[in-house]
Amino acid sequence: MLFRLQNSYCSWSAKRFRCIRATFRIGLSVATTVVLTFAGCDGSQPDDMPSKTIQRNYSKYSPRTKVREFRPWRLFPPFDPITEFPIHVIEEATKLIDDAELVLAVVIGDEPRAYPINVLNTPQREFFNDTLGSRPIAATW
Amino acid sequence: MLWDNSVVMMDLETKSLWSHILGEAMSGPLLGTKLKVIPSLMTDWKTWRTIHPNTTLAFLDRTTREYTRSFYRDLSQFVIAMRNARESKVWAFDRLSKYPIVNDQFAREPLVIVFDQKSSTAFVLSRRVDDRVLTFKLSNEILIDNQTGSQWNAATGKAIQGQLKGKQLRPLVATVSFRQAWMRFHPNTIVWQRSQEH
Repeated sequence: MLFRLQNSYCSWSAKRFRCIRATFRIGLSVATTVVLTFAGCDGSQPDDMPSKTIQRNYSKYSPRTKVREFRPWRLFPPFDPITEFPIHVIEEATKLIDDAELVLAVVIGDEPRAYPINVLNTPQREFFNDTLGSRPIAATW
Repeated sequence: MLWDNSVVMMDLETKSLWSHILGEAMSGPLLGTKLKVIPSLMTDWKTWRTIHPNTTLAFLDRTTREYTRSFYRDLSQFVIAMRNARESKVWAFDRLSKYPIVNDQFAREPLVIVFDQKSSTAFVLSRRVDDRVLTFKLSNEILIDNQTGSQWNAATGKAIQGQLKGKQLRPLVATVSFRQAWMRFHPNTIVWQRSQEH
């Protein structure tokens, strides 16, 4: 399964571009670091299956919580997924990245890998579809 | 696509939409499907390459240079967070900076959080080793358990000296997040206070 961001700069006027930039600044205020994998999803469902919408009932967390609905705000068509990128061993890597730069890092089996936040950052770059320790993973933050 | 200021992802195969903060399909054929979240660490390159000298780096051109250690200049904005289907808990970075070792638990899982002030890295490890639960103190950046006095590397969770040498503390899934963003999605989250420390 490949992930891409449901967003795109597409064609824009200068004015629109600023508007989009502002939007993404808000979007990126979620500084979440997660690495996800896809156990149990074979991804073989046909494209034309009816789409359902979930109503997230957060009240299960506490009776005081309000119900939240999944109401995403679509700006543009999705970006292409990122599936190819160079992987560097540490000797090369150290020439590319500064010691103070932040990374999202993971070890699977005995394979450690780091994803620089400065690379994972724009809307086109939110997810890396990768394979590590023979497991399919998505790195996002 | 954004949901409550949080990024939405789409898979190519089914066109389902997924919340990246919840790791769950929110609409489409895979509605309700949860992705397994793998323990990960947010740290700086120096800290990571020191812990794992055999690491690899995935790289493309940078799109910004904003995210360095100085990103954490206001620690009070950040939390390390854990969640399951029923509850969630956060430990604020400014508190952890004051108390860099916390023996705590979440959803009955005994855990220890070690906070490295230089890199603002929170390491979250299970305190369960085989059938026993350990309690830790920190001495010169080395973890020492009260039960056997063994010494542990806080970054890797490996026992490096003492009776339990060779044992491993399991890293737990925990997420670094802006406090506000986490609270928006988990309004009833428990916020760790010093008095809760065991």
